[in-house]
Amino acid sequence: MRLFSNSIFLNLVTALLLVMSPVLADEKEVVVKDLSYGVALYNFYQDKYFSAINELLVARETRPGTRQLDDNELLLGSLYLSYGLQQEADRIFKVLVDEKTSPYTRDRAWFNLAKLQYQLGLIHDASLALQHIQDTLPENRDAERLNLLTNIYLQEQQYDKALETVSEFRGSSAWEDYAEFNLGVTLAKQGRIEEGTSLLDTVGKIDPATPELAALRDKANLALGFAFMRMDQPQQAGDAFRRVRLNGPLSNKALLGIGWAWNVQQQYKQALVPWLELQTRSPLDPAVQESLLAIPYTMEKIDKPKLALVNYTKANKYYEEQLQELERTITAIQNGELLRALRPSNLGDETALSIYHSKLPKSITVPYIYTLLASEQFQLALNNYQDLLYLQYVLGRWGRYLPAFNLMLQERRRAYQQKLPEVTGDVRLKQLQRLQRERDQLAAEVTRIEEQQDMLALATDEELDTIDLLQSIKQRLDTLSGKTDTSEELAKYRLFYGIVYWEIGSDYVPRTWQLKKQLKELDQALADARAANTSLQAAWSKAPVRFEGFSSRIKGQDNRINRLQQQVQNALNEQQHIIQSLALQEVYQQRERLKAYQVRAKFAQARLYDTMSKNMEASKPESKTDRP
Amino acid sequence: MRVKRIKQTLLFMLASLWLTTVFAANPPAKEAVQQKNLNKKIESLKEEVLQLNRDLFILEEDLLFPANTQFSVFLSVDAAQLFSLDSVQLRIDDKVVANHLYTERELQALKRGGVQRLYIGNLPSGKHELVAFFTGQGPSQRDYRRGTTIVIDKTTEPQFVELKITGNTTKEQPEFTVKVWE
Repeated sequence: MRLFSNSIFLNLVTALLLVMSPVLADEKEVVVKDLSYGVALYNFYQDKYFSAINELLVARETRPGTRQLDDNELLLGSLYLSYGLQQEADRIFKVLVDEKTSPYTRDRAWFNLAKLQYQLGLIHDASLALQHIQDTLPENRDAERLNLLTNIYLQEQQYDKALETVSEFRGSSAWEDYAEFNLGVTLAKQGRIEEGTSLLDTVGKIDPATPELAALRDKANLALGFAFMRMDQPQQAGDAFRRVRLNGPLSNKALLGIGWAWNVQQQYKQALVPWLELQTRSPLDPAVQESLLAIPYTMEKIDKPKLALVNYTKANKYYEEQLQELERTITAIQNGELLRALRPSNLGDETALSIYHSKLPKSITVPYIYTLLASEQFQLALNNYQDLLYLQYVLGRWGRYLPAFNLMLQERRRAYQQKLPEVTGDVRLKQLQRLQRERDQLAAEVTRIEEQQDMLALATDEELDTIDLLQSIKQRLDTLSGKTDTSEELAKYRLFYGIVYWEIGSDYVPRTWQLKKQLKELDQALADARAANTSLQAAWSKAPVRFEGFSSRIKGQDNRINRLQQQVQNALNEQQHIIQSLALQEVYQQRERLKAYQVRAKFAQARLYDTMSKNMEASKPESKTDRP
Repeated sequence: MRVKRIKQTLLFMLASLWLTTVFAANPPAKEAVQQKNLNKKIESLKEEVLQLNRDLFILEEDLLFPANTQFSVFLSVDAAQLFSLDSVQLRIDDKVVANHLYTERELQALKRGGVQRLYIGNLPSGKHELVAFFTGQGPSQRDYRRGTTIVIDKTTEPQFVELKITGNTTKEQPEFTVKVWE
């Protein structure tokens, strides 16, 4: 079994995750009425807090009258809270609870405010904030509220109220298990052993649906086992310890506990079984290190001093080796090996900057600071470190972009200066008035045709040709009139003339409609052209002002970036120092512990040598000199 | 005798536990104080960098995508059970302007109600044809490739178009629609 595996580490960290989980809008109720809100959610769900906040800040600046204002603000407040901007979060939630928002928004704002105040240690304020919540929270969120209320009562040492609150949970929720665990541990510590162990026993027997709950169940059983040991009930303690998973992160402590439970019952050989199992596990674990002393101690109890001596010697040798390893680890931490391992490989990948780091860094120090890495204090320090690195990345990127913005602006200015004479001199822009006059003439002609029912005005070229032809025929017929009989030709002429007129006349209405439609299209085209012209004129006339606007927006940003870069670097140095310091202290504590174990092992070794040599002396036959 | 032995054992055990717990459990107080002070500085720095980022982000958008030509395309999914998206390709006036291959994390974000900004660019006023091709897995894990087309009339205002993958529950088929935001 790999003790320092990612999966076990994940178990430790996910338990932390549930307790510290960010406060969100309720997902099942998510309705996107505003694109910025949707995009912010998309980023948030990928742990891109910086981008999600930026999306909402940009929307606030550029589109203040957004459709989903309250939701945007609620989400922004929650994001600020998750991203460690407590003051900004506080300001937003206080506005949301004061303004005339919906009960839905107000309840969530009060709830977020309560969580924030609890985080800040303002327990009484958190309690007051919870009292404002009405009944719009869904079941799981309400369970979270009850868990928070239980924690508040625990902080205020109002244990009976905490017990009452725990009994209010309805349905099944992980929050209930967390509340019962916290209350159980606190009551046991306060001497209310029976109530405490009863709660821990309940949590220790849950059917865990998630890895977090399995980890919580293990913790409950371990705490219960130690509580029973203190109550001098080793049998019950052993039962509790045995419920801890054999492959979980707490299994070594449980095995150690099982051994002690047997030991107290004077079942020394049985005590050795779990402890000998511990010998197959990583010797870096404190429980394993302790078992190295517990085994020879028990062997002495069963009158096996020689075996005990062998095991004390083995323990001594091991402690010495580990102390040397710890010295190497200390040097590695001091040389920055751990800090390098904690740097994300791709600083620009915001998704790698998860709030909870579920993967172990690739560092030789990991086996020695494994528990520290999963602790809340270290995780928060690591978040800060990686957040600062990301801020450094963002500032560096803008620092590189700014010259490009300036260049872009210069190019646009140059292009504007070059094109200005071309545009202002373009004759097409001056034709609008003439075109409008022509359009007006055309409109007047259409009106005349309609008023005078001038069908011929709408005749096609072909029809006009035919009419011309018919008219020339008529002239010839008129010339021949009286000289010859043209009555048949005249009749034909009248017939053809009638047909042509009838065709033009019957098509008059659709032709008039077509003409009016074309006139409308012409009006639209002219209106578009006028609008384009106005827009173009405005664009060109405003361009210098716009360029100036851009210039002033760019100006001074490099100083702002440089100043922030320096401040971020200083904060980064401080944060690195804290991380190194935490890691070193963890290793120093292990060194102290190992030294203490070593002293005890050496003392026991010396004592055993002494006893054994005295026994040997006592059992020796009398010296030869004494012989006769 | 038994009581004495138990006490002796408990003493040994408690001494050992004291070593493992006391040495390991106490968080370093000096670092906690340093961290608390530093947290305030970091909070203020984050706030300032966020403001700077917002200002420069808006400036960049104004420079690169002026309001009169700005055109954005978004994507959302409301039919996760009927269609699992692999990739999308976006063409405007027969020119490919965006290709996106989805990671598991992005898919989860879409399924939970997030909206992706797929494309932002410039388009002159007038009519333009927008075509989106979606590939993924449809009902019964079958490979699926579908396209949707819309002709949009770009004005001189910024324009926002949302590609929506929804589910037709009666047909048990995904549907691909386009919404132009006013």
